Amino acid sequence: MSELKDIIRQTKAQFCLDCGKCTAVCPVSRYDPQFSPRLIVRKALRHPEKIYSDRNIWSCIGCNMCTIRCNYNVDYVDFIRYLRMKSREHGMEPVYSHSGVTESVMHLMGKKEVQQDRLDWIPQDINISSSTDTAFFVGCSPYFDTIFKDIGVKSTDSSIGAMRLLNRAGIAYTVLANERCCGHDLILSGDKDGFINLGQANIEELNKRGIKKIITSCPECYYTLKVDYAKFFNDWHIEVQHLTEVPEIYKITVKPSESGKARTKVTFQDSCKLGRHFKKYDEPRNMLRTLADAELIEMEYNRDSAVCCGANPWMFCGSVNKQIQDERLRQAGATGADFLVTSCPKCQIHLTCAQGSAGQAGEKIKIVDIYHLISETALKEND
Amino acid sequence: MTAKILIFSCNWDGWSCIDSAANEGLGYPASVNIIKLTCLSSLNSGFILKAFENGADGVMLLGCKNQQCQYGQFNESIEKEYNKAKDIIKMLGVKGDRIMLARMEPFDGRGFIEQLNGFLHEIKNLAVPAGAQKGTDKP
Repeated sequence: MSELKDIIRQTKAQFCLDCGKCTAVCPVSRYDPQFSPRLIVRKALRHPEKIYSDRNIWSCIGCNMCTIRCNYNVDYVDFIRYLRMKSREHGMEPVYSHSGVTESVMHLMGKKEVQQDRLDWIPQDINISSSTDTAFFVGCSPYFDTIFKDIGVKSTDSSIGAMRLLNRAGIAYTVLANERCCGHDLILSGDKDGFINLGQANIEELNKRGIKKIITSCPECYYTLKVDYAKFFNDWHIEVQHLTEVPEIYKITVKPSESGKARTKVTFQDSCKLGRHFKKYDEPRNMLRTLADAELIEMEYNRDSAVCCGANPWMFCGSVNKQIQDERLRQAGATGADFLVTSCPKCQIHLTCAQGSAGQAGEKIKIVDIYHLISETALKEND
Repeated sequence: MTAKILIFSCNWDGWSCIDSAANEGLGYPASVNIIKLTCLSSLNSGFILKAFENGADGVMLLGCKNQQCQYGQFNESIEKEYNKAKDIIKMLGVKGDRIMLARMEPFDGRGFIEQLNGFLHEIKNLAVPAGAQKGTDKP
C-alpha cells in the first residue's frame, strides 16, 4: 500500500479536512447522491483496500471545481487519475461510452507502425508552411467528425477557424500528417500504458520534423502537452502555446459593423482545462468581443463557477451527465443569446448531443465553436 | 500465414449460413472467429475497431438481406456504423477493404464460404498488416 501513500502525499489528500466544500460544488454530486469527492478521499485514507473496487472513482468528470474550492489545495483530479491507474492494475475497467470507439481509435493510433491519412479536410486557402519549426497541433477533430457525424457536430470547423486565425495573424506553422492523439482521455481514465504509447509516438514524430514549438486550439491538448508530457516524459522540451496566448492574434483588426451594434449576441462556455486549470477566462472573451464583434452575455454560472459540459473521458455517460448538460443548456438558453460559444471540441460535442437527446423539450440555442464563429463572421467580412 | 478474421454474425440468416456450411461439411480456416449477435444493428463501430485493436486483419459483418431483418432495422443502423468504421480505419492509414458487409440469403452455406474465401484472399494480398499484435508495442 506504500504506493497509495505516495499518491496521497503527492496530491495533498492527507490535508482533507472533511469540510465538504468539494461535494457542495461538485456537479456530479448534485445529481448522484452516492458520489462525493470528500468520501472518496476519506475511504482511501481509512479503508485503502476497498478503494480500487469503488465504482464511484469512475464517476468524476475531472472538471476541477472541487480543487479550486479546496482550502488545502487537494489535487482531486490527479488523485482520481492515480486511483484509476491503480484500479486498472487491480483488474477494474470502466464502461466506455460510444462502445469504446474513441478508446480503440486512441489505442490504434498509439501503435508505432501507424501512418495516418488524416489531413484531407484542410481547405486549399489555408497556408501551411513546410519550412518552420512551429506546428499547429490539430488534435482528434478529424476523427470526431466521423464518430459524431450523427449528432451534427463538425469539429474540424474549429481547427480550420484556428488555422485561418493564425494565417491572418501572420504566424507560419506546419501540421503533422501523422500526429497522434495527445492522450488526455487515456491518462484521465487511468490508462497509463496507452498514454505512454501515444506520447512516445508523438515525441518521435515531432523530433523527426524538428518541431520546437506547438500551438494548439484544443484546451485538453494544451493541458496534456504542457503539463502531462513534462511530467511523464523526461525528454520533453517543446514549447507549448495555446492559441489565445499568441499575441499577434490580438493585433488583427476587425471593423465594427456599420450599424454600430454588435454583430451577434453570444454566451461563452468556459472549458474546464482552459478556465479552471489555466485561469484563461478573459482571453477567449476578448477574442469574442474584438474579433467576432460580439456582445457577450454571461450565464448565471461563469468563469471559475462555470458548469462543466458533463462527460469527460468518453466513459460512464449516463443520466447524471445528461442532467448536468441540461442544466448548462438551460442556463445558456436563459441568457437569450444567439449562440452558445464553446472553446473545446468536447464541450461542443457533449452539449450538442444533450440538446439532441432532449428533443423538443431541449434548449434551442445554437452551439458554435469560438474559432469557427470568428473565422466565419467578422473576420470573413474583413477579408 | 492465414489472415485473422472476426465475423460478427446475426442470429438469423447470417447464422443459418454458417450452420448450413457446417452441415454440408464446408470448412474455413481456424483463424476465422465468429461472434453471434441477436441482430447486426446492435453492433457499434467501436466493436469493429476493437477487433482491429486486438490484432484482427479483417472484420466481416454477416447479416440478412435488405428488408429481411427480423427487427426491421438492418439498413439504417448497421450501414451507418459500417461506414463509420471504414472511414476511421482509412484515416488510421490502414490499406485496403478490411471490413466486409455480407448480406446473405438464409441457409446459403456455400455462398458464405465463397464470400469468406474471397475476403481471406483479398486480405492476404494486402502487404501491410492491419495492426500489430496487442502487447508488442508496449513500452
